[in-house]
Amino acid sequence: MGQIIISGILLGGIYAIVSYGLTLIFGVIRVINFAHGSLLMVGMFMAYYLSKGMNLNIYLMMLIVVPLMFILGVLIQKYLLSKVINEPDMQLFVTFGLLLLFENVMLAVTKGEFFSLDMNMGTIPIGSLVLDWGRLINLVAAIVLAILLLLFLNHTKIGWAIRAVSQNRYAAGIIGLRVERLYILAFGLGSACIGIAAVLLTPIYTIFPHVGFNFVIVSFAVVILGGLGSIPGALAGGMIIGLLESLSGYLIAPELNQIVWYLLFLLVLFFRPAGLFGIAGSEEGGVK
Amino acid sequence: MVILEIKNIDVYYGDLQVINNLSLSIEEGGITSIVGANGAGKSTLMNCILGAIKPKRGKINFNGQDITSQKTFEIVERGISLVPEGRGLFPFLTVEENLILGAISKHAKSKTRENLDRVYSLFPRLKERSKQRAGSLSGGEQQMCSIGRALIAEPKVILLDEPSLGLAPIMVKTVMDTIEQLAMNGYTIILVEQNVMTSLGISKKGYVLQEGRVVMEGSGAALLANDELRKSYLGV
Amino acid sequence: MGKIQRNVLILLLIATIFIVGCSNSASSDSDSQEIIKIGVIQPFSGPNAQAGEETYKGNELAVENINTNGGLLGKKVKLIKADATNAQEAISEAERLITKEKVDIITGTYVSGVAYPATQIANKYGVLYWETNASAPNITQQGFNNVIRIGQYGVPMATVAVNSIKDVVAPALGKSLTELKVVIVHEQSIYGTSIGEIEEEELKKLGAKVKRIPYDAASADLSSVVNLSKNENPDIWLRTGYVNDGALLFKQARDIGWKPPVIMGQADDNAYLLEALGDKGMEGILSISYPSYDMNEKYAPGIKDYLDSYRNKYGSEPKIPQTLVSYGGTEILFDLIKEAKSTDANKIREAALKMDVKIGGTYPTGYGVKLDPKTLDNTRAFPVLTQWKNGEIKTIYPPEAVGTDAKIELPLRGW
Repeated sequence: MGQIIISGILLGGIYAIVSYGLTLIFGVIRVINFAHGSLLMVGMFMAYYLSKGMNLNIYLMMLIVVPLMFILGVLIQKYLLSKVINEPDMQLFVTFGLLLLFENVMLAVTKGEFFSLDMNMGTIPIGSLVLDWGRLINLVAAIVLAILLLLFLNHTKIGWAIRAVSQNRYAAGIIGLRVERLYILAFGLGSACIGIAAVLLTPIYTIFPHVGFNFVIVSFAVVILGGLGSIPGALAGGMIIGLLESLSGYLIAPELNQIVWYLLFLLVLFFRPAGLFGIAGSEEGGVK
Repeated sequence: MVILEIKNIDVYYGDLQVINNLSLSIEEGGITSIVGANGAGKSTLMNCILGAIKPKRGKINFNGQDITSQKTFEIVERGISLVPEGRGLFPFLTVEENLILGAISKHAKSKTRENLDRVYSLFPRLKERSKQRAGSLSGGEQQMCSIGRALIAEPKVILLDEPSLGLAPIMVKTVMDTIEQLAMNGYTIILVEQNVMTSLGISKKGYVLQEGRVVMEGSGAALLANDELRKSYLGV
Repeated sequence: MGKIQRNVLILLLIATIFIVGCSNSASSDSDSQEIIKIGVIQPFSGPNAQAGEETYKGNELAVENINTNGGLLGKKVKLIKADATNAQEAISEAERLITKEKVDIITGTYVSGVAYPATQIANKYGVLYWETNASAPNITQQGFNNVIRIGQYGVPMATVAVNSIKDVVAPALGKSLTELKVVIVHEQSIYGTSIGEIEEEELKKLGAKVKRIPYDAASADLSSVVNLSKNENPDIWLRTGYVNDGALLFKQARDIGWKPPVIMGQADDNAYLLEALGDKGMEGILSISYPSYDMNEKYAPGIKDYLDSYRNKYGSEPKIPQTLVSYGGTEILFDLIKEAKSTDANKIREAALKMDVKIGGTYPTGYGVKLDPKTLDNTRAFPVLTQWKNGEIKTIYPPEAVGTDAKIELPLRGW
């Protein structure tokens, strides 16, 4: 049972880290980013190819993948989404189009093959329980990244500006904040967070063009559960879903491992849209 | 001296014309009121001056320079600030964070601390609540915070859009007193108000808007004394 | 955004949706009585493009072979490619092959989801659908009398798993069948479930203790599957699933330091899993697999010729075993056309139902031929059992197929 809880917490770290980027993008720009999973996939392929190509440790790839993903996010917002900034339907179209584009391009490049890093980093025994390094590193990174994002959003002027734009875009504009630039920055940062997640997940998962699909619904569930735009909420939401999935897989049946958190997600969505930890009404408030 | 001059502007929302060949000129200093029924185009005019909406035709000059095609942040930088209808605060940011974000322009940034202290001495309540979320303030405190945020940008002209809307009568008086005080301190104030009697009473000049046009203008006292205006436009 | 930009954007989106998958032009040279036309439906684009192309090479090599040896019924054989990646394309391509290209027979298919709708069109026109590769059960459960599956599918795959446990795995562990504890884990779609259920039933009949655990192949975490399996402390961990879930399952077992004495999977002898777990991780893992290229010539006559002609024509080693399967399946088809002296679906079915070829010794796949009269499935399309040894795949069962001196080595020792 202890092992199951450990697995749940480690899985929670994975779900948290894939959700930060969505939290920023969804929370600030208010666009349902269908391409979230595809961006994760693109980041994973970047990390994989770069690490193989340069024969360097995968974690070092963070130094390249994260800036590249930042730039990719900036380009998406600047040249695509900003053109349809006042048309929510078209924004959906654009992100859906990006999803198709990224996946089809990667399908054409990889011809549907699978790629994995064989990184047997070993395990850490604690009594009768075992932790694996890949997921432990990810968990630590998820916590550290949450703290850094919080510090950035709460203690820098740019952080305040990003939160301001997400809470009242009109008012942000009339006090002279440059809304379009902040949107670009937010998408870039969100995308960079996806890049961090991509590097951390590359040693754990097999990479193929649809790998992002496995993380999309869960990311949205984490973001809704934790409260829209809340970084600590995303961390907590990830942990809750990870634990629920692990426990229900073990206690109910592996094929039903997502039923419980899915139900919780739907309940929260309908009855407490501010999330489990959000202040009532704050779902309208953007990044808090 | 004319500080702000609006010449023959037309403004549309899509196909709907909301401002029609409107011109007005604002003298430096004192309070100018803009009154009129709902939908007369008052808020649109405020947003247009600030560059948040662009006129289809016409020109806006500020301090003798054409600002018609400038972006909002450039106009704020030049010295126009808006206190928007409904205060426009960021509810999950603290009072102090809201205020500091007002100091976005280059010249205001370096004096943020100093200006913050000035706002706090003007509104001691804000200092007491500086670490609270802005969304938790009362309506009057929120209005002070919004005015404070405009002041911290070091404006020459302050646009106020319905500052007394939704406030308790006692707070209305405080806010109006504050506005008069600001005018006395040398700011040029453009005031949009439902509360016509009060606003015209403290204004040196007033404009009456109807369906996007200026239909009457004159000194505050003269407009207040005008029977036709009292009957048809002010409903008093 | 202006109207034009908006329209262009919508156009681009639609183009993106359709750009992959639809890139086929019909080649229609005039019909002639002097050739036999066989349509080949495969995914030649999209995610399975490479696998589709490789599978097609098996048809191509078999056709070259028959044409250089005088053709069939005095005619040359010609293949016509049809690209289908989904049900919609399968239907339109099957229609095209039959009505425009006027093919005599259709064959395929790497993807079961393409085969299923295509067989329905073939049935509508009464054209023979000769299935060499797809393994989904529903393809032959439609009651069609023109759809013959000559390649392997769930029943023989599960049968060989159980037979090999009985014949070589249990003896290698030094245990009797009644002492054996088996945990079956499989992905929960019809593919994994159909095989998992037969395995469970057959192993229970032999007296083994069995626990079966279905799981979701798209799951981001399979630790519950691993932990539930570990709790049973099984002798054999029997798996049916895909590549990405397989890699995750094995890695998560490795992450908690658990390796059972035997791991046996369906087609887990692929290069992707080797990349994910390395030589050391895969060492000793068993796979119920497609006929392997190291089978001996006596069991799989013609396999050396096949390998030579593949290398000559394509300049590389065969990439996937499905090429051999379609090659062997096409050879059986040619034998039946000769026997029936016709390409008519009914005549070929009659001939096929009479065919009785024992396993091993006839075709380069080692397959025998004996159709199930109800489903027209080939009950003797038997896979082999392979084992990973130092990053290579060695056939170890059935004994007649073993072409090397490889012997089964069990139990597994650590990751």
